[in-house]
Amino acid sequence: MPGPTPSPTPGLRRRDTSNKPADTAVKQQRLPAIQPVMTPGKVILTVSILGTIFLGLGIVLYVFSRACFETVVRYDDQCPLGTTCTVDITIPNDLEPPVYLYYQLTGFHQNHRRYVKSRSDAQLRGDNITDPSSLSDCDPYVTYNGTNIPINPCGLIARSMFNDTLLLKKPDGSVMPVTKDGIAWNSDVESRYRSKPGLNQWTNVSDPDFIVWMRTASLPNFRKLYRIVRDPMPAGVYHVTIQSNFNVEAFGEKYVVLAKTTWFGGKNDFIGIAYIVVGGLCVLCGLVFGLKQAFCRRQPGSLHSVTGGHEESRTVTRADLAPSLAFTIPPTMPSQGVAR
Amino acid sequence: MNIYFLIIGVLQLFPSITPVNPITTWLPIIIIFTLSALKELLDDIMRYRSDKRFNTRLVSICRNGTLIEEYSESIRVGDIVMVKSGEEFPCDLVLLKTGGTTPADNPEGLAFIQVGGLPKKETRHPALLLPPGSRWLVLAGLMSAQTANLDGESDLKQRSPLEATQKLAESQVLLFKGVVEGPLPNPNLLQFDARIFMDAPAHLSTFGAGGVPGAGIGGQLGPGGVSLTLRQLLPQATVLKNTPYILGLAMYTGNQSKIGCNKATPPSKMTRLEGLINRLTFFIFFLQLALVLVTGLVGDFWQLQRGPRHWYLALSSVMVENVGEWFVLPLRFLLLLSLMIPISIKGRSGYISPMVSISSRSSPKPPQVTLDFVKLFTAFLLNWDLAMWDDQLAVGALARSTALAEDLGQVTHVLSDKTGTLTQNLMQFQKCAIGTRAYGSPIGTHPVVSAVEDQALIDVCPAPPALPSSQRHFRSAIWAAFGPHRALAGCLQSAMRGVPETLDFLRSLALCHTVQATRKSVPPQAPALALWNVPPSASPDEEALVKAARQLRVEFVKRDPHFIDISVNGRPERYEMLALLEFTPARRRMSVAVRRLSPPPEADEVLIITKGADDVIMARADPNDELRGPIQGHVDSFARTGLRTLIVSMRRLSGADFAAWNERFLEACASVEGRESRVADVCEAVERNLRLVGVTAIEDKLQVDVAETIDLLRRAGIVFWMLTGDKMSTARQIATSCALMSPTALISMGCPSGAAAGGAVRGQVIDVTGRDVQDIRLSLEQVEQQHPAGRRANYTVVLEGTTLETALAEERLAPVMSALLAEADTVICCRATPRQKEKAVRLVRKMPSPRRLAAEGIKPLVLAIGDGGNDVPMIQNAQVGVGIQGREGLQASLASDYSIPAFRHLRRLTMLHGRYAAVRLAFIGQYCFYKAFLVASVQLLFNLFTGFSGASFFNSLQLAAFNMIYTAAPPVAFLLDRDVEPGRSLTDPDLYRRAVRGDYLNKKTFFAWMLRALYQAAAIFFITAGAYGALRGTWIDQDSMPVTVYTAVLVLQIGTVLGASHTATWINHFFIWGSFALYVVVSLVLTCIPREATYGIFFRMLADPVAWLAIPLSVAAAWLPFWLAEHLLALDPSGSALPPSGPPGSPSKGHHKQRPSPPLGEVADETDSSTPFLDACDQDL
Repeated sequence: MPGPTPSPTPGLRRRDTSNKPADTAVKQQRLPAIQPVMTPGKVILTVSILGTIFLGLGIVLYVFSRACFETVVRYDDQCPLGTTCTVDITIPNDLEPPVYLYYQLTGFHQNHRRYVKSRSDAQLRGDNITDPSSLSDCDPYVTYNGTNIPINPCGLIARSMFNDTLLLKKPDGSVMPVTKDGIAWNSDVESRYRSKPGLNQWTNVSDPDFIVWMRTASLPNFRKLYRIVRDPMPAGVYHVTIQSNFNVEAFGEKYVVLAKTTWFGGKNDFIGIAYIVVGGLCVLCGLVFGLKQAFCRRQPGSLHSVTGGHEESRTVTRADLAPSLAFTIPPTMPSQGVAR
Repeated sequence: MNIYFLIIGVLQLFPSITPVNPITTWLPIIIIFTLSALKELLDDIMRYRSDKRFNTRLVSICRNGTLIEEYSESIRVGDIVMVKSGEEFPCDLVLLKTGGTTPADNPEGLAFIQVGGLPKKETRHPALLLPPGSRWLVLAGLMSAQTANLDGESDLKQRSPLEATQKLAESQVLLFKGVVEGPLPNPNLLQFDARIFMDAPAHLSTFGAGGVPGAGIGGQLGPGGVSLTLRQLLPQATVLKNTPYILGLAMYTGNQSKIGCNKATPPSKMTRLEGLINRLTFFIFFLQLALVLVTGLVGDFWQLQRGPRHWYLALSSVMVENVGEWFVLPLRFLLLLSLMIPISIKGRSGYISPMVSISSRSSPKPPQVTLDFVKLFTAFLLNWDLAMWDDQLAVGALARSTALAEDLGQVTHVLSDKTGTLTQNLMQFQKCAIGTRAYGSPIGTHPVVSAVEDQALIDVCPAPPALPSSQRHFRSAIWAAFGPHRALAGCLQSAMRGVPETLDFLRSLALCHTVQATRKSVPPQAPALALWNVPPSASPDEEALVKAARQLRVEFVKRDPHFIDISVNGRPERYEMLALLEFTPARRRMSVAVRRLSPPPEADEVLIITKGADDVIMARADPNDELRGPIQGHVDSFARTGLRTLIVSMRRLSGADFAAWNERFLEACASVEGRESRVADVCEAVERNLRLVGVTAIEDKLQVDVAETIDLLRRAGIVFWMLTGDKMSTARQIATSCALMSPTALISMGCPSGAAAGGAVRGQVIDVTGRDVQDIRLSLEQVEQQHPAGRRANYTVVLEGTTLETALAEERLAPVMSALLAEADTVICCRATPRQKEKAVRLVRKMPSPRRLAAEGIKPLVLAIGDGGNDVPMIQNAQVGVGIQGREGLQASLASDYSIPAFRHLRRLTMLHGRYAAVRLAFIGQYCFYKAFLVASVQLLFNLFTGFSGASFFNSLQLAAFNMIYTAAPPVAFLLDRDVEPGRSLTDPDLYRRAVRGDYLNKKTFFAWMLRALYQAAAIFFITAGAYGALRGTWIDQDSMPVTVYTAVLVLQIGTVLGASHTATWINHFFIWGSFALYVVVSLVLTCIPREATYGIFFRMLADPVAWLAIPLSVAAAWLPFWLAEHLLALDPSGSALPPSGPPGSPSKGHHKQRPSPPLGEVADETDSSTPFLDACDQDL
């Protein structure tokens, strides 16, 4: 019922346009969209390209990981508590330094809440804390039994420090030179652990082995860096002599690990495989939908196939402000007017 | 709700329980409570200031006979107060004297008050300044709820002082002593039956001595005194207009005033979406409790069974020694998972209130920052919309309620007023019938007046000669306005010579009205134009009639309380005004009793002129009048073309008869008890045996685009109810031209019920008639026979307001009636009073929704739209009230939730703003839950590997910042998103139906989001763990792994928000990337502080190739499936899943998210097919 706009009786109302809204893009909701319109074609293309990249990367990672040397040997079954034993590690090919020696524990909940919080950063930093109440986090190892003297370092983590000793020996039985330097984080060594003479610490807090232990593992199966071999290791059968002091009988196992690293960290097939799987699925997806798109597009009589073909990217959306205009949109106007 | 967060907060203070630093909960709590406290403080300050402003306003109060300026707070009951034009009344006043006008100008001392005449500045954003339901709204609503006449009314109201007080000199008034006896303070705005005693006994002769003058001393005064009525009461908070100043007596002050007694906050409306979110929050809460119990107990058993084996935990003695330890783990998990309920989204009434009832009492409005902000901004967007700005009225759309935006997008029923809402309320006199003859051009064909006709007309009806040039445009304006019926004018001009009935008819029009000719507005050069300027008239109809009579040379010149001057063909005539029986919605007629003074009549006779609705007049007409038939015929034929008709009738009484009646009338008017009904009885006595004179027909044109708007909204599945005071045939005609009765709209939807109905006859018009129970029952039975329930579809029900009311009041009829109405596509309710309109709203809200909606579990959501004071009850009772800021003043607009300039804007309001709001809020709400659940899921997954010890994976800062900082802004910026272009949103009813159906937010979409969160948490956590060698023995520590996971989660959020956006603008990009950049910056800062636990961690991550490999991989694995599904399977987890569209059976797979708009060609065809129906409809009529 289009008719003339109603004209108010003259003089009855003063025109006051001071409240008239501003004609700005934000207020009128027509800010241009900066977003590509994702048509199925583009999505398929994107996914295929991404999948290919992932697939390629995955293969590279997998190859590198496979090529990386790593030997894991369980020893808790060979070395009963309190004994000394030797496990053999065979190195098939010569290894360039650095080579890393780890110990690995399983089933050990370094991430248990009771355990994780049981430390005092201030105390480890070298602050002289005499008041046990400010060490309450260290519960249940705060003070020496029956006294008011704080344990330093206090808490479950420090208390349960891994205390097996691993001695790496060359095939000829001589001791392989190894170093502790660099097994702990520089940031930790520099600022978080201080051993001072007057503090009555029961262990050397600035010892890298201690610092490594104090950086609690995130998951219950973990390995910690023990020593670094800075010398070349020719192929052969190496020996690790282990003094077994650390009790894991009730919950897990102990391993000794000798490994090199790749450019992306330790030997880890998972990441390569995961990339290959995700990439493969992407490519497959792209293929399936690409084929479908190729065969199903522009079916005669189907409305939707019309939209499928629109590859043109529209980055600007215009708000259709005139209400009357809305009625004059041609019947065949496809959805290309819509950003996205 | 708040209690819940408080408990969480307090629990966190126990170091043995808390898995994280208390800051995690306290920071958000503090931020949110500070925000809401600030808001409350702001509100309070505003209120205090406005109170203070109001109380310290200077008013002139009489002290010892002189006027002194004092603060309004010092007014005491009984004080005499002076109020000037444009000022607001500081309290309820009894009007004593109108000043500033000479007795000649304004002998009756008329004063005008305006309801809601607030300065614009204050009304502009009342949502921000005044709480909803502030005094203005209540006043506007109540004042006009029942006084409104059916055809609309002006917001100016007349008040007049008693003659006895008006004739006093001003100084006498100031020294005036007397007693007013009145009712105790009460909220009834429509009744004020009091008495004034001018010469009271000396010991009582001061006003207000004992506080409220009232019942206490009434007994001592005995009979006598002059009655005071509502006509003398000036209610507080209204504004004096068109009157220089008045002197009034303070009657009720402060909270005892009429408006003070009416102060009440209307119940806050909760939108459907909020309701759903509340229920879902409740669900999440129980899910959380269940998880807490399960994980907590598993943790307990782990500690008991496995714990002792882990010697390094030193657990052996803990569980056995202390029973309390059993509660520690569940409580710890409660804290850990408390972030599943985003603190920023909390439900409106507090979802926990059934369990902790104190919480709802202690803080009825818990803060809900995100949603509130979104809604507020949505309201601003609505206010800013230029497309809803009306240049002529200089008003735009205005959201008075910020809370209901998304309800606009889910409307199922629209209840609409007709006059002024669908029509322009610009009355044009189109036709008339005098005696047996009808005059006027056929309606609808706007006659192009040829030059010849024009010339002829000027001959017959000369304009005032020699108009000064400045007036010339006026003349053309008049002629333009009268354009369509110049022909009518011509006919009448010639007909009126020698036909006395014609003159009677025109005289009646000039005499029987309440139009005021204000002297001030009459330009001296052109007295004839007086009426065109400021006629403070009660109704536009009357204005049109008086104008028409004037055009036909019977001109109303001026009136004073006792006389009316008219000029007939240039000859002045003077009438004595003996009585005025006002128009009320109940009476639907008005009468005057006049006696001609000059030229002197032959006999002493009094003329009773009555005009009113046809049925009312017919019932009171002389049964033997031979004009009954022809007049009824004219009425019917006029009404059929959509004209508003009134019958004009007359009765001659002898002077003696009238005097006898008048005595009874005055007595009734002065009575204190039962005044209303006594007056009505007396009026009935004189308004009978009327002689029919003629019929007037006024056209009220449809507003622009009404039919298109209605058609579109009906296609969107909205059921329309038209509620009008008009008679049935007029209503039907208007309904037809508004596309209200076309059956096609819903057929085109292919709605399920249509399919189910099979061979049902579509588009019946079902009439239900009858005024009493018996008749209605018969009528309903007839309907059942003719259109049995299963065989009717897409039908229209036409009935009268009384029929509806009676049927609903009767127990046995009510179910039948509401069953019939519930399934109707359109309901036309004619002759409806404001009260009945309100009842209709209540009925629809309670009614079961139509089957097609009920099948999808949608309950009715009622939007009421109206423009006049008579629509206020309807508007206030609907879930969403829309007021049209039209010609009938501001009442409806003030009482509404949304105010728009014209009906056609309803389309933009609902299909654009409402739908956008629903879509945006659906995403924002669900996203808030999703991201919280995502983080909670990671925490939960991690605890599977910590021996269920309730350890927190993320550190406290990460947790606190996640919801409040890093992911807070992007979803809020989403409120600029347009999922489809406005043009399409406005034209595709299917999109609106989807919003109504709740496709964008329902249980399904919500759980889809939750599952998505769970999957993504798992994907990111396990892929990251795997990348760090978890399968063999991880080397990652507990500070580093969370950083990688956290970073991946944040990157994922970029993808999620961008993926859900349709139009990411630079603002969205700014917030999305800015949030992430902020995270990087904060992390870089934290990683540099040596003493912090975070020292060096972020750097290490940046230097670690594993992190760089793990993050893209985990994000891709988490995000791609949803992105692909959304785009390739047309499966949108944000809820806008597209059902197979178009003709059923068309391939629905693989098509793009944005479907094309339905071809308009189809639409056109359907419209064509409706023509047979319309024809049938015409025959029906």
